[in-house]
Amino acid sequence: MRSPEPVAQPSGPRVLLVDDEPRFRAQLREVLTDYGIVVVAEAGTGHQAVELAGRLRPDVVLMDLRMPEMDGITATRLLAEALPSCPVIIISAYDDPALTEEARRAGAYSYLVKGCPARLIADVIEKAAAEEGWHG
Amino acid sequence: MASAPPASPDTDSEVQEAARRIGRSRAWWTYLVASGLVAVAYYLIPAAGLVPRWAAKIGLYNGLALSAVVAILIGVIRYRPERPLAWYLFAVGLLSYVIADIIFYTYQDILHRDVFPSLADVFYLAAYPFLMAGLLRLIRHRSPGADQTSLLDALVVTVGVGVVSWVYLIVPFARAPGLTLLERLVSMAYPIMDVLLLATAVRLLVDRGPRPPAFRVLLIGVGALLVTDTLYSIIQLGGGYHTGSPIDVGWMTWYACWGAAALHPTMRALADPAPPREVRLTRLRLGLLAGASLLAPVIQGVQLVRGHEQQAPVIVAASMVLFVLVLARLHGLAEEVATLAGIRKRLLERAVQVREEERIRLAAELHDGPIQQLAGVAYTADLSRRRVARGDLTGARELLASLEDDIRGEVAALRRVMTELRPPALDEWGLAAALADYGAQFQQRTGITCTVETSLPVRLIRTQETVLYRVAQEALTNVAKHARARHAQVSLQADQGRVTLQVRDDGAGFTTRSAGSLGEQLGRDHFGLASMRQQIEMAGGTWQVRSRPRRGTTITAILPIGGDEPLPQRLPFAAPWRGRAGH
Repeated sequence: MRSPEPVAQPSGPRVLLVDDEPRFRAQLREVLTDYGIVVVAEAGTGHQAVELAGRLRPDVVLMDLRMPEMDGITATRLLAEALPSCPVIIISAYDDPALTEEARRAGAYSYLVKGCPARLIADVIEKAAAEEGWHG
Repeated sequence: MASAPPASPDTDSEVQEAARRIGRSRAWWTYLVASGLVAVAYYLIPAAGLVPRWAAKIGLYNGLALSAVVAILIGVIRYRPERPLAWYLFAVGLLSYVIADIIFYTYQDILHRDVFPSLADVFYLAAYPFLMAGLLRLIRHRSPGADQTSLLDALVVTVGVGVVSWVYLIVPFARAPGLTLLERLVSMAYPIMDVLLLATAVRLLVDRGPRPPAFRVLLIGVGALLVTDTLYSIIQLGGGYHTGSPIDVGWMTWYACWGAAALHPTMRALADPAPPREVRLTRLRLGLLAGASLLAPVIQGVQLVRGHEQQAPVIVAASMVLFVLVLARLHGLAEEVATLAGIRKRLLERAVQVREEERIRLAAELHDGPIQQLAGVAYTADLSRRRVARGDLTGARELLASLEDDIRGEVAALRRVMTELRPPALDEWGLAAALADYGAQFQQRTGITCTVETSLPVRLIRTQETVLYRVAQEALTNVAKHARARHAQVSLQADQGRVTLQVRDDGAGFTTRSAGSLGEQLGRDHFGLASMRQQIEMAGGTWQVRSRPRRGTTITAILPIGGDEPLPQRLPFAAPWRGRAGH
């Protein structure tokens, strides 16, 4: 029998969640919160992400790629220039080496594919908050 | 999905309606039968000695001719063609002929005077310009713009037949002994007029316009007139014509045909502008052109063999003209081939582009829909598992309930994607059911009322079902994008071995000429129209777009039913019960 999973207190890294799908954002927020991650704000476009990150200074930005107005790569590039100490983790439906490379060149910390285990997302967020640099 | 049908936007439907309403009386057919009886009486009554031949001539023969004039006027009043001038010109021409006949037979059979030329010749010859003007009016309306191909074909036939007429009719009249200059000129004028009338009739015959029954009957009448005139000229050269000659039946055929054509409901459509399409070089047309081109050298050979006088200068000149005309036609064909090659290239490029656009759209749909949602479902499942592990069963139960809804929603979304790719109804229940489904979806998606009426007792082969479905889809997409319509109507009918798909709307419409030929459609980026037409023509059918500004658009696709391909197979999975009867 597995040991009961503890309820993590939301005292972990502060995360800005960026995705244009509100339903997906809600589902991800709930599970990350359960893993102790603090979702400080949510954004639906790259523009909003840049603006909110500048204002709220989160520890990590969790960023979708395909969004209206401004895509995730552009927003990542802007954040890497404006807030170099704030790592951006890309989370996308595309599992494409070319996109992964583009995300790396834009300054992203890591690239995750939507549907990967929530535990992995939480681990990468914690790791990103603790250090800097590309972790593909 | 019930709705009022859209306002009738095109003449075709009005003509069909007229045909249904008035065709029951079969006035034109009754007129033809009555004319036949008059013709029989014309020969039998004088033969039985009941009345003198001249009385039959004036009473029955001229009566029939006059009845054709009356029939034309009745036809114009009854069917109200938009462009009636051609019919009025025909009526005047016929009337002139009747007056000429009455004068001629009064001189010949009542007064027993041989007057030539007489006032009758003035009226006979005056009839031709009216008949030609009427035919030219029809040609002008039916083939708006330049139709160089048809013009060249008509010229080839005319020059060929003109040489025959010159050698065997015009020159013999010019050299007939004992004639005064005026008599020669008038005698020559008849075959010359016949050649000019033939040129006009051939131009009408080979144009791109509609060919309803009234058109065919009208042309049979012209043919009868030309053949009879020619026979009359030959008889006159040989010795003389007499009242009651068998050739009179030829002129009576002309009168009867023209009267019947005017009484046919489709007389309205005779002057309708032809939809832009390429003139095809069919075997019949090729044979006609080859025969006409060879007439001049054949005549030269016949004259040589029979030792008759050579008409070398005329035949050489005619041969040169024919050669130039054939070269011009060849040049046109070469240009057409080059154009078709360009069209093929652009269509192939377009096909690749459309396929890629479709894939991009599908990928985006999967990205935004199922992948996103299923990833979210995975996170909710993770959360549920953690709650169960913590013993929070109530929280876990709530999450599982929402998971169930999410998964159901995604199954429905994936089914929509699948249906768009290949509607199961098309394979399971056939085209009629698939169109009904698509019409309902279209109405729901666009807010445009869509009526689907089908009468298709048999299943078509898979290719035909697919082509017609895609054409209906493309046509309705155009309605949604461009027409600003309130109603759309899709109809599918099977009749006489053909299946006809029609998509009509009551929207903004456009001038049909702006749709243009296939090449022009591609040039103007009317890819939707070009694609529909290409698909139908590749499946061996015909495609037509009819539209007028503010009067909506009708797209008609006709395919012959049948083919070698087996009937569609059911999909290899059990389809849900749909409760459809008769499919």
